[in-house]
Amino acid sequence: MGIPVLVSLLGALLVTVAGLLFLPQAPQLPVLAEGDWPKLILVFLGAGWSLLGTVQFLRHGQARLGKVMLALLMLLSLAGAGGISWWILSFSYQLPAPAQFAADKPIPAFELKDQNGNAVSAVSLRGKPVVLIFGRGVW
Amino acid sequence: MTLLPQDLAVASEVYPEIQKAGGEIVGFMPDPPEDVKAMVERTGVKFPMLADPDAAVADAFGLLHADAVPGKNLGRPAVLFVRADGTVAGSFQPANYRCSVTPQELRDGFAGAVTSP
Repeated sequence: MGIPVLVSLLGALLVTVAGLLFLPQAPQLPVLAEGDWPKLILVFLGAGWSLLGTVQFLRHGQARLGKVMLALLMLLSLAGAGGISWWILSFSYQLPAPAQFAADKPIPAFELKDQNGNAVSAVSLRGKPVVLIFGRGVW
Repeated sequence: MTLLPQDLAVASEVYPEIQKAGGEIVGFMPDPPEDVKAMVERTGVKFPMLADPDAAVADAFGLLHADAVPGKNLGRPAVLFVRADGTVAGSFQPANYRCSVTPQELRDGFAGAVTSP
């Protein structure tokens, strides 16, 4: 087995391992700012090696079956790397920094209508502890 | 796509306890009233859900994600625990908008708003 084959196989392995490292985050979404960059670099590195090794083998190698199999593996690696990158880059964007609330300052005044048309305001909520849930909204 | 059904599901689960403890849950959605009404009907949410169509109230709270998608402002998901006197005792503001609050975090946060001075 020549060096190009090794490089290609190693690249495919790298893409697989990096992809698996992202798996635990699948129920949520990755946040690049929280340390997911190195894994993404691994994915790109693996795809690059796979491409490089396979192209070298296709140019200089002899075994026909080997060429086909390596080319297929390379396509899988590239598709995998592309899919992982798309998933990360299109879904991972940081939200603005958390809002800060002064310890002794009341919440801002507001008045909105609820699902039944009843008005709810900062004043009407006074007198009892309240959990306010802010949603992201439809987009 | 309406996000945060998980937060709403968690809030719905804990709502009876919070009501029993004399508290209230209020949801804010940066969407038109008809969308909020449709979502309430679909999810069976019992607590008040307020329509904040232009996200002005979210902005007043400092919870606006301006231009979250090109040309559209969205809310920054957050759960605030407010004391009876109207001050904020604590908050849950994940860096990742898919992370939702857990029932225990909601209970603990509410307890913090009840007991803290």
